[in-house]
Amino acid sequence: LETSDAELVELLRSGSSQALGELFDRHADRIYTYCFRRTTSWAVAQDATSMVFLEAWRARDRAAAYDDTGSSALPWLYGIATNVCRNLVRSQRRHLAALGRLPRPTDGPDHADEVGERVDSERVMGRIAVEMADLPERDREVIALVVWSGLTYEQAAQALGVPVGTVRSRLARARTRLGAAVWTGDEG
Amino acid sequence: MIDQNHPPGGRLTDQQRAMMRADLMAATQDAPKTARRWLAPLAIAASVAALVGVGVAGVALRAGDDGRTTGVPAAGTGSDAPSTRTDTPGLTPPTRPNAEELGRQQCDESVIYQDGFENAQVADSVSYDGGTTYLYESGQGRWLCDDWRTRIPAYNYFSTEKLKSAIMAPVISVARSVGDRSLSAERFEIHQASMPDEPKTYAMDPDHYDGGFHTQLLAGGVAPDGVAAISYAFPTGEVVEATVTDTMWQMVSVTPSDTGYHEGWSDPVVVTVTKADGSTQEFELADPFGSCDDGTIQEVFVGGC
Repeated sequence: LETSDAELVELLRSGSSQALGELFDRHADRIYTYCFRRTTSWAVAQDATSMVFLEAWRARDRAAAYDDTGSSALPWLYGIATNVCRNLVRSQRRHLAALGRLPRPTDGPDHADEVGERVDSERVMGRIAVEMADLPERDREVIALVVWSGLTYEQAAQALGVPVGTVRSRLARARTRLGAAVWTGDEG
Repeated sequence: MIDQNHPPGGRLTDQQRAMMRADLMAATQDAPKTARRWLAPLAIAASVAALVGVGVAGVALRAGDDGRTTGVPAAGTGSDAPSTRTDTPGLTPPTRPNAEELGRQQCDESVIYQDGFENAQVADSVSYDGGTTYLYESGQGRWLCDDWRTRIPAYNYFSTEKLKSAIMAPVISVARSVGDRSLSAERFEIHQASMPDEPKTYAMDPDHYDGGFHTQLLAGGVAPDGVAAISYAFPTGEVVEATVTDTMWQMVSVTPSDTGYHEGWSDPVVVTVTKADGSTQEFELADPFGSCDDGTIQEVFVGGC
């Protein structure tokens, strides 16, 4: 019988790194995707994912698995990822000039097709990020959690540490503003 | 129109996943459960392949006068940097460099990313309680790098090679007089870096700090000709004597601060230079710190504004 997230969280809280490893196995891909959509870079997303789970270890006393959809640790991990990625995005802006001067790190034995897909997806995500740039950061986070990552309003509220009503209102506002922005962009 | 419902997604490759998991396990398996939380990152730092390194402070300059070098190994060769991995990960505890080795490694890897500094060598260094300042030399100029920030556990605990190479390059060209042996106010410009006393708490809010800050004030460069001593008198009343060697000089002060930076000093910083013949010369630094266009403090990183 598979150990539930709630049980893993209890083990994690007691100091079990193996429980953290199991949570990593289960949720790393979703966190990785979420971080990519927040940072628009696969390379940064990979590092961000490592940071999220290291931060989860540091903050294991506050680990939580929520019960509304079968005791998932994801809302808690998404909450950490939101903060990590928010900080990374700020760092990206700060270090933009430096990035341009540095040699691009190699990604190991990627095949050409895979590299092409990664570049294409980064380009698409970058375009989406540009179109969403006018939204407040907290509205973008709600879209990333609810619309892109499939969290319920309740889970998103748990991840962000805000009331459910706040999630609803942020999402409604974001959709309205985004729609207008996109319409304007198409017209231009 | 963008498609909000289907932005690109992806999965970690098996290789990425295995590497990340191994790093995660290495970083967490032996973390003492009774240790203070903010000490854990130091242990993590050593086992994870790299660090964020958002704060190796340094100063660049263009080629100046003669370049004396010592027998210190070339920067970035890795010859004196212990490996953080073993051939049998998971079976043998990885060799972990100490804080001093990590700091040197950070500076080495920062400097070699700068144009013209690929083969830079450490000409001299000054160690103090909390860090070491290195003077690098290459055919293109000199570079000052200080590892104080890397010694702070809160900032020193994660990331893989890619992130390190992407955002770690520390420095700046905020002072171009590091290699200048002449005496002028410009060459005594101070660079400051600030660190919260407690780590960022990403699980709560990335901007949340439980404690105050410590701020480092740093100045240095190639030793000026005929100078025996250099002292800084700050508006706070603090007087700091610089360390002057045959090769370099360095002034460092680390003090608590409320805001994280020293700003808004109404009185100038006064630098007193004592020459070998006993005579002195004073320089007033009315604007001792660099600032950005919007008036905020320029941090001591690459792209500080």
